[in-house]
Amino acid sequence: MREAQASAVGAGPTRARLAWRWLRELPLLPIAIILVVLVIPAIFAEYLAPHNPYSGSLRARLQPPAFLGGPSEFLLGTDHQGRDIFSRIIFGSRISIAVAGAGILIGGSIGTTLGLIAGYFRGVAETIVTRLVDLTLSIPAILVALVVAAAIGARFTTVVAIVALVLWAVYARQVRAEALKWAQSDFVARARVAGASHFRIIVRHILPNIANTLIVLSTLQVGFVIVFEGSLSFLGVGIPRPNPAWGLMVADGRIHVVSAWWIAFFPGLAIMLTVLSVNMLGDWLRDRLDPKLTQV
Amino acid sequence: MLLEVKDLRTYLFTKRATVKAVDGVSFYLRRGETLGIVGESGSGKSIMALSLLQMEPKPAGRIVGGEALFRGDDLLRKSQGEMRTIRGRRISMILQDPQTSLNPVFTIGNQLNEAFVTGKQGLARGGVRKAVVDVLRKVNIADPERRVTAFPHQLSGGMKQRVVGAIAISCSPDIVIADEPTTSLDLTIQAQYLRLIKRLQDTTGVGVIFITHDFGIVAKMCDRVAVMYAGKIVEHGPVRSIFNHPSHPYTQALINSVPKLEERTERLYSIPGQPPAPGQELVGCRFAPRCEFADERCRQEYPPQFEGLSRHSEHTADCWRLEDPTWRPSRH
Amino acid sequence: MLRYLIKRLGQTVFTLFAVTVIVFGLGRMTGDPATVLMPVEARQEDRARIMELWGLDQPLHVQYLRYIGNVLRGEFGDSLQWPGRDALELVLLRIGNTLELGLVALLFAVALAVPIGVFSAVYKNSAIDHVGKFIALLGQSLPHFWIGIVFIWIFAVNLRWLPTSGRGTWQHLIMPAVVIGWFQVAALMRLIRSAMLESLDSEYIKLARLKGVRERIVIWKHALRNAAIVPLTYFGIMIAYLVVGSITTEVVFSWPGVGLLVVNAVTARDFPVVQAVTIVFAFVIVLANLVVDVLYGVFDPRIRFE
Ligand SMILES: Nc1ncnc2c1ncn2[C@@H]1O[C@H](COP(=O)(O)OP(=O)(O)O)[C@@H](O)[C@H]1O
Ligand SMILES: [Mg+2]
Repeated sequence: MREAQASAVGAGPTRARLAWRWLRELPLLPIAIILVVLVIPAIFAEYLAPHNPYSGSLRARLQPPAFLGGPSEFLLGTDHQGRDIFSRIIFGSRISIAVAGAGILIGGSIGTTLGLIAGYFRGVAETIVTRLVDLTLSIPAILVALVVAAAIGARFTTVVAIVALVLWAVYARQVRAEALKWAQSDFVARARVAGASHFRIIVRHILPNIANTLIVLSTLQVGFVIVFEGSLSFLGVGIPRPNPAWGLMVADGRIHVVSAWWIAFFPGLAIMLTVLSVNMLGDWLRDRLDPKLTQV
Repeated sequence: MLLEVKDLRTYLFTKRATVKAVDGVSFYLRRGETLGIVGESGSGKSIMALSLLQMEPKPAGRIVGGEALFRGDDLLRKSQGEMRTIRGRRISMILQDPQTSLNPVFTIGNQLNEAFVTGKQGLARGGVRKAVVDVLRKVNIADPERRVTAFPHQLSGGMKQRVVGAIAISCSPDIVIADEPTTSLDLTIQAQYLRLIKRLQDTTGVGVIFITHDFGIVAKMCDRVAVMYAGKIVEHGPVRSIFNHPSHPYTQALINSVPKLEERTERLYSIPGQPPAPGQELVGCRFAPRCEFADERCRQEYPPQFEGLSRHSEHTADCWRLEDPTWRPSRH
Repeated sequence: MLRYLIKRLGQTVFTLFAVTVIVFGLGRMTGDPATVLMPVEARQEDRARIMELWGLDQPLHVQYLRYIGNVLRGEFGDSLQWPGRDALELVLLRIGNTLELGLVALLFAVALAVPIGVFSAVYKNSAIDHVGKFIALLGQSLPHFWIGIVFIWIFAVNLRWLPTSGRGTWQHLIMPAVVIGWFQVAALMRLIRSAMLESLDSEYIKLARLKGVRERIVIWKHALRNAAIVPLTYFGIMIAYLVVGSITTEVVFSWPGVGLLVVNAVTARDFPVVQAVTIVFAFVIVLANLVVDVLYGVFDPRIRFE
């Protein structure tokens, strides 16, 4: 672990200097957007939302946004049930974060574990894992989601499970390649000679070295998960109504696009802004931490 | 005079530093002659050769000075469009690695066709096909009619390099530059290939610039030789004269490092030390840090060129030691 | 080439087998497959017929064999939503429309991604490179279903240039194809750019230039032909994305394809149709991958002659 850090940092500038340089180069706009659109609303939803996201009055149906001449209490207008779109978007951020967080945590842990095993022990384990990875990646997850929804109905847990099902393969593929490389390194060989157990070598020597890859990979997956969950919800096989999931709100707005375009527009804009920002942040991190990580 | 290069300078402007890969090189080539360019790897031989065709690695590389007179015309002042009509037709080049210098997705016939079609307008289609087969036969490829449809990966390394040679001679150029053409071939194939080049040269009278790091090959192939070190030509002269009376310590070291079959030495003499790192700012003689004779002046000031060594007007070298007449080699 | 094809065929069969296992397993996960496979208001003799068709009173492995047999014979049972209509027939009636849309989208993507990818590699760090990078980033961030609606609002509702939805004229194809293709453009462009950069840096490009070949031919023949091999390896993944894109996009534009069918079937809990669609989609994807592999051999002689 110590050696890994030493070789990563090198004998150059001090740690504090490096940290400072990092801070100065941070992509501020994407980070600001992520905070404003995703993180802050999710934490303070109850305090920020002016209305109840689940109920509205039918008298206030299809009101245009305040800045386009609608009533001033509905900043982004109301939907076909008179619910305040602004409040729903604020509460919707919680769903996006929850699905992305849970999906990446579960899928990432499974994928990382299997990738480490495959890359470190090789042999049969590697064959099985790579086969399964190829298989998983060649079946469109949306089909699985459709079958699951048709068989047992859609709910939060199934969405997370399907996200995890896709992600584990992405993680396993990348981690296996990395683990393979580090397993052949000098300090792993030395640790082995010194009598360290396999578990200890993997956890103390290999895992810290692939931490950067995991951070970059996870950041890049957040955008994918949010769009994916949005697609499932939009199709009615993701988060069930009346939850204010962004994709669901776009679906609600679709038939009203002629008369009330704002119903679909603003939730979709929230998705786009968040995902674009997360991807930009991910690109930036990749350039800093792991330039070799394959794209697509 | 077929080609006369004067004070050629090609610098590579990389992010870290400016690498003076070719730093004031002058030489000439006569019709039908073979000039060897020898030097350790990294001494700037390839960049120098590519610069003659304005093919220095872009965007880092830039020719910053000098001239290269090809039949009196300065190649370095020509536009890329004009250079295109010279590349392959008047001056062609054989690259070091036959494994990578043929395009893997096209047949060798296709790649040879291209050389003919770009080289000679007005050849009928049947004519091109015949010309392709003919030139393959010229480079000793057995069964050329069939090989035309082969892909590069179906040929051996030696065969691929002969195809590259065929491409080089396809338009009967005036000059062929061979950049370490045999380095990646094994020894017997290497000897065959060298014989082939020699024979082609004898029959066509083409001028050859033969780049190598191996003095042993120079002795077999070349009429004259220029020794290159860190972007400069440090010694130059007829092969016999250089072999008998190497005047620059670097040349002496290079010649000593050639394995001599008859001596059967197990240990190969190799030059101690490292060539200067690319981008390192250099004053004085480039070789001084590795030279056993170097003194303070060598390190401060680049030596002048001394001519007429070993009583041969064409034999020149850049070394302070030659100031002292007793060090100048002379014919016995 | 033959050995290569046989190996690929083996992998194909394995993938298809896995798909059937997944669908089979999910259909029986609820505990009582009868409720999944049957309409709630099914009469007693219908119930018996479906039990018999899928062997639902048999042990699981027998059920699976029965299931495989049915799948291979194309018997997925009748649609629950439209009683009396065969599920597979419903799918096959619409698959052409989906393929049409997917193909046009792919053509659009290739037509846009190849030039942008090539130019951003040839003119690295130039304006076009930066524009291309931004297009790629944007393409990966825009949700299909949303951009489709935005397009409808702009081009159909407000500008009235294009029809809002449905299928019929070539104008109907434009918006859905662009929406699906957009995402592919981003991925494809990035791949072509990096493959071109590598190819342009190679010795065979140097030799082509040394032969006096025109720069245009050096780029579009020598470099691109090699660079094109790399994106081909990602085609399998791209086709999977194409399916995802086509499902949401068909819903947005009411395109009468398999995607719209399956989403309606899910809403109506019409499991036989969902099952048929899934299997057909899996076949199409796997088949497309196989075609790509053959193309791969055509493009790369090193594989063709192995
Ligand atoms: N594309 C390039 N970018 C930067 N430096 C280069 C490039 N190609 C060569 N060099 C540097 O230029 C110098 C001369 O290289 P080269 O001409 O290839 O040497 P030689 O052919 O004698 O082995 C070397 O120091 C090498 O590191
Ligand atoms: Mg070289």
